[in-house]
Amino acid sequence: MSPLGGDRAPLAVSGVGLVSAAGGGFDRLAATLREGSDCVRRITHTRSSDLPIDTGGEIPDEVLATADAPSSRAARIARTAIEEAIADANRGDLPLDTSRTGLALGTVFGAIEEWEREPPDERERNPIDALARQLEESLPIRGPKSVFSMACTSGLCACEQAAFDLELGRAEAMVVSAVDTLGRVMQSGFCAMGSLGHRNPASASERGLVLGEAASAVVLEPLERVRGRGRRPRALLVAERLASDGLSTSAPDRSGNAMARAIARTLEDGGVAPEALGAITVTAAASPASAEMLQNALTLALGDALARVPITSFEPAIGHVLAATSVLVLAHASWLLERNAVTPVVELASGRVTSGPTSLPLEHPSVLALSVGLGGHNGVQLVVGASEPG
Amino acid sequence: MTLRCRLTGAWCPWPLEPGAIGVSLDEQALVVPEAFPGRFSPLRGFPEVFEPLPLVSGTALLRSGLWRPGSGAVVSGGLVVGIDRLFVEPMLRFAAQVQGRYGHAVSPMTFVESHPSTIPTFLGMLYGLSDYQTTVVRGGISGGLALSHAVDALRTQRLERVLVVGASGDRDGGRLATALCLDTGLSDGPGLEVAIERASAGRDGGETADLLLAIAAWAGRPEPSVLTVSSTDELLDETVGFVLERQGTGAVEGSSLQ
Repeated sequence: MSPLGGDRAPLAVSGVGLVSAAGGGFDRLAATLREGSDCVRRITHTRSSDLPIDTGGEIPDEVLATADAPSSRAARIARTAIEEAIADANRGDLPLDTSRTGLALGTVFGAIEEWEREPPDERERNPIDALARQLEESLPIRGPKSVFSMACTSGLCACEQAAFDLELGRAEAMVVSAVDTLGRVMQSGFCAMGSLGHRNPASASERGLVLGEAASAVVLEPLERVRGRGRRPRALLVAERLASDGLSTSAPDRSGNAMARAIARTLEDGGVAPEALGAITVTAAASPASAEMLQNALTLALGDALARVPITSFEPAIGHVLAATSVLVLAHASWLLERNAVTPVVELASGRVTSGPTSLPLEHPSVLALSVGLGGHNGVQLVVGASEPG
Repeated sequence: MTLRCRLTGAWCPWPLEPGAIGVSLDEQALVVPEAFPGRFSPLRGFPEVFEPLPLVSGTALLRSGLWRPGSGAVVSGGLVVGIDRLFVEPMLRFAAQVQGRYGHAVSPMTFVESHPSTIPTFLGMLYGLSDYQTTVVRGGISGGLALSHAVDALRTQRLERVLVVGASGDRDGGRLATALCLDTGLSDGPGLEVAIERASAGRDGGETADLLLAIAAWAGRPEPSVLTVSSTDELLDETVGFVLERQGTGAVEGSSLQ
């Protein structure tokens, strides 16, 4: 089995960027996670008062106010997150060569909030093309470009293309970004599916998903190249797999069989035993169906080792951020590895932050990141500390 | 870098136009809701929004020997879909449903159908495809980039077999769908053995067409031995191209232009 990135492996995370309900920058989310607070509130930028659930992780107005240029909300936050990730990656002796840097993008609905209101000529295409065009015109990236829409695992598919582009020599660095906004279409759709809960799962007794909007970005480069630029890598992405249930267009397979298969293959590809996992970061765990699926999958794949691995999630703070999840899990995993701590600790069975300590030591420098997509798509990524050879 | 694989393909327009499609009437009769026991209710028709993707996908898999109508068995392999507008109509329909006050008229099924990812999800459900799946959306080169993603996955040994599906549509509901099955695990068997290589990013010349359709149609003819094909999106100013060379004689039965 060829490693992710082939003979250019391991691939390093050299920069991260985020715009979320916590504010602009990954540090704002990190502070919110450390405090154990949340940013879920009534949605105000779009009409929501008539919806059964009108709360979510909405990006503060002041963040958008400083993000000028591209016309759509999605493109503005994505550009801000990408610029942060590039600036972070450039904290070395040599900057990224933008002529040899590509962009792989993931999104569910792209610029749908504005596209709905566009004149018919503009609507000839689709809101995903609209997002890509606005974003690419405003960025100096000149390498290969691609766009994937695979529900909340879209970012993982973008990572897959980024790994291809690096391995096959089309680029020296790849920005992987994923974005979705919390407009009326998105919030109404999840309301209609009966998937949403009333309050932040960190503090409420009621269960159900809380949506959030976000743009996440990471820069992926071959480790050797990052070191050659004089940049200290944040973490290494050593393996990833996606497996699909193939059973339903909406509900996850609660048995967790496909997710268990993806976990087992990822660990095998990465050469990490279940006993050597330091943490597992999960998404969509506030949904009872997803939590049951994740619990069953982890039990199947990890066996007795599961009891010793702390589980974490950024979602109690900012909600389930749709396509942005499967890139944000990489940034979250990198942060856990750099701090050598698991924050916050969540209880998968209840979807809550535990009542005891919300931070535990990271006992092994490897984090398994799980993401789930509507229709039973199960993404798994294995991130290890940068001091590890992978 | 050249990839050698076996290829089968199928294509057809929607609404179906008898006598002008790349699947035979016999094949059409096989890819029906009754052919998916345990996977799809024979009492329901395929959702109109996905037509004719089940037909072209089933025909390509049938020609490859990987799927048998009525078996309900799992087909091992990846699935990469490239689309431009197929999800737009349900998306607009759902957006209209939520324009007024939220109520019972808001359909969760319309919301699900407006996700580009629901197309591979639906095909995966029919054919039991449970490996890696994705949807590529990039204007007029979505199909070409879907093929490129699939070829990358095969070349880097992330996958051994991929079903690549492309669909382009117009605002009046007209559609053209193509499916190609690429397999690196078989040295012989059904289909055509080909060498496939992505051409350079510039405008390479050769045939400019709906890329997947051109490949499926070429596979159905005994010649020429080499196909150079590209597609371009003017708005993005981007071109994707491929060179394919057949490694033997013969053709994929039924997929030629008629």
